[in-house]
Amino acid sequence: MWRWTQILVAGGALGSFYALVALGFSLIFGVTHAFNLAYGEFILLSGYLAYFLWKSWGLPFYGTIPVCLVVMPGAALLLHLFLRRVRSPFEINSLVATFGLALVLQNLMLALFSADYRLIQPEAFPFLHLPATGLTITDKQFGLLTFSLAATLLVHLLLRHTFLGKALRATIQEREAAELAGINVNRMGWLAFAFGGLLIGLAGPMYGQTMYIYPAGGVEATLIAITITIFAGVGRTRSLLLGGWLVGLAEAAAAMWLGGSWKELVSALLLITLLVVRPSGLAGRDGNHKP
Amino acid sequence: MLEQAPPVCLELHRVSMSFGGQPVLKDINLVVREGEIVGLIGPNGAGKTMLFNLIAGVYHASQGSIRYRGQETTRWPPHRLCHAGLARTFQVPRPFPEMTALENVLLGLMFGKIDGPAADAAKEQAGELLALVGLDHKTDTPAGKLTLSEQRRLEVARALATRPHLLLLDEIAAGLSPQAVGQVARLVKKLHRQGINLMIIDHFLNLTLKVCHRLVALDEGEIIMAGEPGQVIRHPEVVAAYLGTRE
Amino acid sequence: MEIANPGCRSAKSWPRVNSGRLQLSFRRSGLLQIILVLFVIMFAGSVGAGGKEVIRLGEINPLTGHLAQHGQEIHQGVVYAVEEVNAQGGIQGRPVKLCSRDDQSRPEIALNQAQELIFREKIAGLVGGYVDSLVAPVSELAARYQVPYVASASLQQALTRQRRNPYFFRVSRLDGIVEPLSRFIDEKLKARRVAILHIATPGSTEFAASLRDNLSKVGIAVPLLEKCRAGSRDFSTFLLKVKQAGVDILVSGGFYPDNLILVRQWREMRLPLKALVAPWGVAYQSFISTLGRASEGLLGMCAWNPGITWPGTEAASCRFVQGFRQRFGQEPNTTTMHGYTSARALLLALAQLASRAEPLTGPALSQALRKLEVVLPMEHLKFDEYGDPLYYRQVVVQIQQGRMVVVYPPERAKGWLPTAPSLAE
Repeated sequence: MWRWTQILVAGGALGSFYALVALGFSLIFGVTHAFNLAYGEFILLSGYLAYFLWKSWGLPFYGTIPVCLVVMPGAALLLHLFLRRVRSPFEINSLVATFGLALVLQNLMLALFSADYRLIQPEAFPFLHLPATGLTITDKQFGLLTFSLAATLLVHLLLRHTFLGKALRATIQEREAAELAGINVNRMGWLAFAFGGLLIGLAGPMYGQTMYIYPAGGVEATLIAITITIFAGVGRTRSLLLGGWLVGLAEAAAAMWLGGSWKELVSALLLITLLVVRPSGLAGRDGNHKP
Repeated sequence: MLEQAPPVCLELHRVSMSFGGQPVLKDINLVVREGEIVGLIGPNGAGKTMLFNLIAGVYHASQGSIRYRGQETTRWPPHRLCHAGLARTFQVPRPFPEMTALENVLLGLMFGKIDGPAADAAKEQAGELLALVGLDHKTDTPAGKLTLSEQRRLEVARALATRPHLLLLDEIAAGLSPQAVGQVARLVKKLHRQGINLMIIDHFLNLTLKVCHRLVALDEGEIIMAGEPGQVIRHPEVVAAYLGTRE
Repeated sequence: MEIANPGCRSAKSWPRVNSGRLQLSFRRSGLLQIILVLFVIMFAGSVGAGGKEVIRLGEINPLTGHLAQHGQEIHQGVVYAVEEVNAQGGIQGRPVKLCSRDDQSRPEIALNQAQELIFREKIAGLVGGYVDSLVAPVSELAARYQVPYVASASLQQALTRQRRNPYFFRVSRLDGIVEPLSRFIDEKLKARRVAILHIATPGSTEFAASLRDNLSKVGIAVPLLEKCRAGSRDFSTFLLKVKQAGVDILVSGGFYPDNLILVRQWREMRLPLKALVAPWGVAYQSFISTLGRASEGLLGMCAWNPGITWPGTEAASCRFVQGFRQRFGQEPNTTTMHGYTSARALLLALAQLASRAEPLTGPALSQALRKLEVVLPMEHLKFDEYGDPLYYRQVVVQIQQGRMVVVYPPERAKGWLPTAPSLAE
């Protein structure tokens, strides 16, 4: 039983983080249709900022988060400014433009920070440790779970229970109709990037603390974001969380029973099966529905 | 003594539109006066919906100008036109499918004008609008789960929520039974009495003949006839356009 | 005399011919000038400052991508070796030009870059490479086009043993790691049950299989042998399996970043283990400073580190460390030294050929490498008939108070703690 609990904890913590990573991407893509292939690189930038604040300035780890929450929306808005110059067809062209931007950022990070792997806060202490059962929840897992769930909840409350959030959802679901109902979709685009930047600002320090950061590490984060967004659908917070948990738990279970090298294959099979069974995603509707 | 014509609500002057080099609207001159209900008729592909898209700011004309309530609005974005009192519905309804009927209407209320009502008042008004279109029993139903006819009515409610001065209704009566068309006609007249100007696209003429003061017939992107409904529908060019025999 | 066009020559100096022939003359002389300039440009690079022909050395490493950290370290080692030779006047007065290429941690790019170096740069020899998935394709090319390749970090047995490749050499070998490690686990740790984690690369996979076989021969059970992808983010489930397997020792064949996560999670989960040994990725000062206290008592392996050098090479090792610090502003490590050693091997072989005024052809260089024998800080370097280094042996180190201390083999050991306090938690 405790083995299952440990798997749930490991999978749940990682899965919550996957959902956090995907949330910003999904919001930006849903509102603006910008397919940001440099998304992972922006998370890395946030991670590097947190790392250097912690390492060189001596800031406690959790003190780096507010700084990242201020800086990264600015970076995201700069990205939005850059993407506003991209012409139609916007989805394809934004994909190409951000692919180029990702390469530029990778090389910039390599030049500025070197190829060394950076890990934040390696000191370890368990948050919960039951020696009799062997169950351990580390402080990092707890932090990851808490921050990821809190961010997801806040975004969910924003989207569901505020008029601004409803306007964002309307823009995601039917952009043209939203505009004709009086919603300034350009302004929604700015807001989506700003909120996406906040989520990037949170994801970066978490990334640097949970995994290590290095200049080429952004690709993986982007892949996670795209995978979970496909799983869950655009702008659907509950589905994103569910999708993140599914992937996290599938990886943990695969590692347990099949071996570590099977994790990614199992996640990929899960995604393919889901898309075959429910083409519109985890909480999808019939084929008529647009995200 | 000559009766003064009512003021102009909407004016299109030599408006043309092309897509990929292909002209879709050619040299359109059109005036809608205050207090009018104008019908837009024509065969499929005549450019009726495209004309609505231009008026509503979804696309911008390649040439010509559009003036709405005395302002040059040719290049205005849709949300700005909405704030100025111009609303439209779609030929194929486009509600926000994952939001309830109530939320759909609330969005129109809160964003349709720069100064929206307070949240509680908005909820009440939204409920009233849904009742007006006969959807008061579906307030909490996700719009994606409504029938096509219900979605069309919801769109009308959402459009009305933006407090329009000019309402563009696109094929609102398409596929309806004669009884249902009658209900729509009564609604249109009611809205008109409340001071809303209307333009209605009606391919099958079942609604426009009941309610419109004036018809404008389009074919292949051009206005071929405009005038009193009885005259327009009997005009040989209009008949030929519908039969596909117009040269 | 007044000059009609300032800046132009006076009319007197121009030939007295009609304008048509004058234009033809200009065109012909202009064309000749252009050809001359092109000729100079083409061959300028191959002639050094003293007018001697440049010797071109090719280097392919992952300078970007997920292996960039170690790729950059090897690159620095190679650069230092080449600069060292050039500072001493080159090879028989001929400067050495290093043509570095980045394989972006991808085999297909490594292959492309190797082809470009061989055909366009016309290199005398190749050096570099980290992990066998990047080294193997280049070694095939080396054989095909007879360009000697000294790999800096290659372990896969098949590259040398399965098919004889007279143009492939390497400065490391798998049994130089597996053999001392198995003996250490048996003699010093006295383990009875061992778990092995390895990465899905050819070298790490072979390492795990070879280690298991060696341990089985001495009666040590390996109830858990698990593969994972390089760059895995979470080892908590694997560590759960380690706990269930009831092993004494965990051997991690993971790389530097994998071990960062593995060690941290092992500490967090407080798994009782006699020891955690990692041949790669632990014996680095940067690893120790990143993990801090969590690294205390960990066991790693290295072929060289500052202060850990082949017996009799202390002075040379010190000079290398000081020179490297001055050049790059950072400490060298074992990976850097692999790059340096591979480049030194190639440079020494080239020097031997040049000293005998022999042409620097591929076959001649290959022969020179085969006859090479030199004592370098990392190893007593001599290649066997397969191109493997005969005397390559890594040592086992333990991290004690933030420093690496050699604990095995006995003849090179400098210290040993029976049990490190943190391991017993």
